[in-house]
Parts: sequence; structure tokens; C-alpha cells
Amino acid sequence: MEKRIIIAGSGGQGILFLGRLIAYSGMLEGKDVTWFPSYGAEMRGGTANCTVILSDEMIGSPVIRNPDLLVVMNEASYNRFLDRLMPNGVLIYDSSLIDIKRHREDIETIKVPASELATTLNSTRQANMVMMGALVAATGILDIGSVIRAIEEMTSEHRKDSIEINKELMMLGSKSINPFVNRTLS
Amino acid sequence: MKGNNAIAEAAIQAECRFYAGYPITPQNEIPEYMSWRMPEVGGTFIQAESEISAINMVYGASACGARAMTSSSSPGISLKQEGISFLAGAELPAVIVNMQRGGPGLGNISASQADYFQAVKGGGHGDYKLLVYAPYNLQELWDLTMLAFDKTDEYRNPVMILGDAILGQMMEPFVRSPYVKPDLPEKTWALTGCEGRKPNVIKSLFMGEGELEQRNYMLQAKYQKMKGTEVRFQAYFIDDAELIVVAFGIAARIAASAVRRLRNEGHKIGLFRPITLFPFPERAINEQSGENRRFITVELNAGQMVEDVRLAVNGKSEVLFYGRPGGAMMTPEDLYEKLLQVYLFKLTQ
Repeated sequence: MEKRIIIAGSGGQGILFLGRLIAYSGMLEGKDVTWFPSYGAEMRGGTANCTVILSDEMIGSPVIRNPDLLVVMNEASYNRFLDRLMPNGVLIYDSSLIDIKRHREDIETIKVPASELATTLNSTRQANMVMMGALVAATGILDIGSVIRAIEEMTSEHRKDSIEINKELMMLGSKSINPFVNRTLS
Repeated sequence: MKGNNAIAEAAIQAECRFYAGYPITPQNEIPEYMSWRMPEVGGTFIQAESEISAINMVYGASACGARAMTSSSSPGISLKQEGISFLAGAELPAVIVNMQRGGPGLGNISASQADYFQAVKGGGHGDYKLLVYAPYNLQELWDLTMLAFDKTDEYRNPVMILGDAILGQMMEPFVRSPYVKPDLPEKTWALTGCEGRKPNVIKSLFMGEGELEQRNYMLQAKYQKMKGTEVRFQAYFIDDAELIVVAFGIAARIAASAVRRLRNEGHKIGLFRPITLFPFPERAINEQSGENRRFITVELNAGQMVEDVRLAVNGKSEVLFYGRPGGAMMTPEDLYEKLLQVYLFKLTQ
């Protein structure tokens, strides 16, 4: 099985890191993974996006048009990528930042008030970790244990004190998901 | 680590101790990495004032016997062409990395394969060739970079790694295979100080009667030897294929996705992937050609390698082309539809 994910938002929201975290966790689970960022003429406050693919076999192109899973953290990205999501795909968006005016009936839409939840822990800038927790709970594409291991391995020595708060933020995201939701991607 | 970083670290492992370059997207991670990594291993990193000085610094370092490297992206590689011709003429080893972007001119920073002709047909003036590797994943960026340093010393001829923006920017797992240095002849030709021996001379100017022609025959003999021993390629599902896709580098990866999907649906489509672009696997392609077979080359350019495939096939098979020109991205979905169309059209004829 191959899972294709596009993650998009504003520069500074940790979009590229969120992508790397997904890819790294997938690698720890023995999957083939690729991560491809938007790059070059990007800047803080501009847009950022990346494509992550998790697969049980060798991955061909790391660049794809139509993802199975779309994670968006600002309105511009929502508008830009919504139509590219596969039919029956899953959309996860930060409902604290995005006011949806346009819907698609053929996808599963999961709203996560990520920025608001992160703010309750004084960590508005780490809303990406809330999204990560929600993503794992809602889709089951990764095991939470591998994500935690990935965070531990990816965090540099002098930032080790950030691991606990990241785990808490993920937990907030995870709890925001209705456990009875269909895990269409798992 | 990103593809660009994989190249840089592989070069360090392969005992590269001199790097000079000038920044350009999408390969900036290479000089950035070298800027702190080279001092750690006692090597030299120089951010030159231009691409032209960088390639000439590599000429100087190589002449003194160091394993030397430069990297750039398409417009910067154009600027280096004079220096590359001089390196070939002077028989100096060097590894040159081109992480291609869209052209012509400054183009854009998206992936492209439009420098194929420049890489394999010379690029600079004079009758010379580079040994050209076209990696298609991070494992090959790592392995072929190491191999490039061995081959450039073995042949005393510059070697090019022809990558592209996607390979440079992407991350994926790979095995850091350790570098094992082969037995290579001492660099007795290098300029190491001539106390107690005859001075060595490194030059590409040969004004004496018949001197240059002799030099050129010697260079050509080297290229013939490469054609005999250095060809590398990979073939997937081609035994019963009615349509063979020929693609290199990132296009081969995109093609692999599309071909696998078509195979799963029962279509007889295969993939042939040259790993060396010079020497080109012309014999292997020729052996695969025949009346019941068609070829389609897939490239991120307006049609360059397709000419070499046509020469290799030599009229025995039809050779088609599908590509997207400089700086536009091709997705496996686009390619799947195109290949299916081409494949089915023949069946309904």
C-alpha cells in the first residue's frame, strides 16, 4: 500500500518538520519513504508545503499531483490543494485558522482546532504537533509509538526538554478526534 | 539527509579534500555542507567569487594531486564549460555535480533534464567527453559519487554527476555504504614539487608538430575504453515488453511508478534506465530492439536522449518521445495516461 500525503501551510508553522516527522516515523516502521519540500524562493510568512509518501514497496516519483491525505494549516493552502485530494481522500485542517467556505462531499473532512489547542499549553507555534496527534488518531497510518520514537531521535541534544511538551501537544490532537470515526486510510 | 547533503558527505568519505563553488539554487546544500565539513577533515572549502574561478581552482587543486570537486546548477554549469574543457584537455581528474534546474537562461529553480546534451556531447569546445552518471535515488547519489572519485582518477578525466532539483532536495532512507578505495596508480604526474626529479607539466596547449593530434587520439582511446567497460544500466520487466520506456534520473523514477501500475493492469510495458549517459548503453538498447517492439523515451526536456536511443536502435524499432520541457513537473499520473494511450493505440491498429 502507498500513502501519499501533502502537508501545506505558512512558513514558520513547522510544515516541513511535520512532513519529516511523518517520513521518519514511517522509516522506523520499515516502510519506504520519501520527503520532498517546496524550496528556493520561500520565506517566513510565505507558503510552505511538502509531499511525503509512505509505501510498502519501492517508491517511484517523490512528487505527485493527487494525495490520499491532505493536511492544511492555512486558508491559502486549503484553496490551493483541496481539488487535488483524491476522491475518498482524507482532509485534516486547522479549524482555528481556516474558515471553510467551499466543501467537497466525496472526501472525509476532519477539523482540528490545532492552534487553539496548542495555545492552551502556551505553544501556539507548535500547532503542527497537535495536527500530528490528530493525524495519527484519525488515519492510523502510523503507530503513535514510532512517532514518539521519531521525535526523540530527531530532536537535537540541546532541545531534549521540548520532547515532553511535544508529546502533550500530540495527545491534545489525538483526543480531539472522535474515536468512532471511520479510519478510511488504515 | 537531503540528496545534496548525501553527495557532499559521500565526497568527503571518498577522500575529496578540495571543494570550490559558487551558490545557486537548488544545490546550495552542497557548498553549505562542505563549508563546515571540509575543515573537520582537514580539507579546503572555498566559496569562490564566481563559477569560473571555482572550476579553475578545482583545476589547480587537481593538478597538485588532490581529489577535487565543484558543484552547481544549470546556468552555473554553463559558466564552467571552459574550465571543464581545460580539465579534459590537461587530463585532470575532477568531479563536477550538476543539479539541473530549468533553462535556458536563468530559467527557474524547478527540476529539469535539459542539460543532457551539454553533459554528454562535450559542453565546452574540443573533442572531449565526460563520464556522466545519472543517479535516480539517494542511494545512487551516495554510491555513484564515491565511484566518480575513483573513475576520475582512473581515467584522469573529469566525471559529471547529472542530478536534478528533486533529487537534490528530497529525503529518503539509504544505506551509507562505507568507502573502499580501489588500487589506483600513484599520481606521479601531479605537481608536488620537483626536487630530485624532472618537473611535471600539466597543460592543454599543444603547439608542436602533430602533438595535438596525438593527444586527441589518446583521449579518444580513453573514451573507447570507457565505452567498453564503464556502461551501466538497469532494465525492469523488459523480457516480454511490447513497449519499452527509456528514462534516466528522476524521469526514470516517475516512469517506474507509471510502468509498475501498467504492469499490474496486465500491459506489457518495461523500463530501461541508463545509469551512465556517457558511455551510453547503446549496445544493450540495440539488442532489445526489433520489429515487435517500440520504445518511448521519457525526459524532463523537449527531447534530447531520444536522439541517442534512435541511434542505438538504428531503425529496428519505432522510437517515440514524451517529455515536459525545462522546469515543468511531470507526475506519474500524467505519464500513466500517456503511456497507456501509446500502448493501446498500437494494439488497436
